[in-house]
Amino acid sequence: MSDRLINVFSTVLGVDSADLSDETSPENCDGWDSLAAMNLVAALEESFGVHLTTREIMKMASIGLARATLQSKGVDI
Amino acid sequence: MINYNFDSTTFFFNLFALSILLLPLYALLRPAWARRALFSLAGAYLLFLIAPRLMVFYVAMWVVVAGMQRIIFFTAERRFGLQFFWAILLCVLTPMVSWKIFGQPFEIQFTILTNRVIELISLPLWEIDMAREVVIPIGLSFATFRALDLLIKTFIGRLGLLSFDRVLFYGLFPPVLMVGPIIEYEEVQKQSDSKANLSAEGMLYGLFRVAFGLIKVLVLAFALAGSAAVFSNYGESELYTVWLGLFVYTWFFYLNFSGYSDIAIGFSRIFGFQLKENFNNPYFSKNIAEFWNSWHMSLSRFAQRNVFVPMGGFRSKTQFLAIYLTMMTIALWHDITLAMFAFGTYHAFGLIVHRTLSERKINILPQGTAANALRVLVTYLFVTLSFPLLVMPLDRALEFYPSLVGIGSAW
Repeated sequence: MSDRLINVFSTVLGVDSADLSDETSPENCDGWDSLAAMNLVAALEESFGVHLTTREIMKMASIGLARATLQSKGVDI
Repeated sequence: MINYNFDSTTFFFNLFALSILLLPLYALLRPAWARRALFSLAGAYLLFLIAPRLMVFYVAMWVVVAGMQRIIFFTAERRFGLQFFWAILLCVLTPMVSWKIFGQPFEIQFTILTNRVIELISLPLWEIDMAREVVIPIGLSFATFRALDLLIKTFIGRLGLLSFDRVLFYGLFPPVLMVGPIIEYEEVQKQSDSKANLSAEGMLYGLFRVAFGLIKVLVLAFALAGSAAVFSNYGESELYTVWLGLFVYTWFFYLNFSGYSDIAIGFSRIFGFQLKENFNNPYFSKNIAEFWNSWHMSLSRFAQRNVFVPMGGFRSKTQFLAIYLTMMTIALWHDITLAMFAFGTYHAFGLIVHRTLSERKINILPQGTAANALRVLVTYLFVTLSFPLLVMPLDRALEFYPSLVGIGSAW
């Protein structure tokens, strides 16, 4: 799977996009630690032009949940 | 500590005996609600075996939590939803915080109150309860954080409305009642809603994990339990004995705690529930962040989800404050004492230094096996030095530390 969202995660986490899917989460991805997560939030906001609230960030426990959160904000991914 | 261990071991032996009856029944029952009810009843019965007052308290607590979950679900997006949410969180936290602050007076009041409730329910039950020695609300810290996690997830919309029997099943899930892990609802959700997922492979693995845990607790940790004497004998001990005692104690602590986690994970697996791991070779971590991602992981994950993120851990401006508050939550969950404040501050300091170096991509040591071995040693030493704060009051810990450099210990 390769799309805009996966590409952002791939760049920030330093993981090949082929190894990422909507099921990828901090628990099954070694590079996804709290420092990477901070960079991810900044990268997602910049790439998709949105501001994520604390509640939305709390919901983003996997790439799939991040996708759902961004879609709920009107981002087309 | 001795009573705590004794109760936990007895609890697991009772669970083992009960499982012999529970397993065929669990396999035979078709409706998911019946299997959830069976597990809830088993959890309540195991609490009853310790003391009826514990059963009454925890059943009441989880009924209340189920009601709170409903209130949060229906009010989260409405006016005053946030205020309701905070009021509910405060209510859930009050018993645990009161216990940790007031200690014995709370335990006495807890016993009197729960005894009275039992007297109203049934006189024979009250007589059984009176015959039991004073039992502290064992498992309250674990139950409180599990309840908080459920309620916070409901508030942010990660969990939908749950039926009362689902909340009771989660709250009274037998393997984790006494010594954790602090499981998330999602860890048992799928299995509790589908048909029984029993397999020979799962049962064998589960039995192996239980046996592995028992060996850790009853053989290895038991053999090292004497190392706790270092915290009282350091004044008369030689310098190397104090250090050796401290190092051995860290292993006793790890083997004991992770052993109980193995038993809980193993029992769950026998019944087809795959819980997340709670320890991952923490003493072989290469830095302090890695250590906290592999030590009591269910607590770290809880604190990361529910403190680190909402406190601004994902914003560069507020990340250090978030780290500090996260570590304080982890520390004060153990006990609300000055020593635990110091413990939390010490580890927060370590994590903030590590975060600063990582952000700037500063590597003090080069890459390579020898450098990694040194990283592991330094991290282990850093963690070891915090153990006196974990097990002693602050004033005694401050007396203990000079003995590590030969002051106050026999040379």
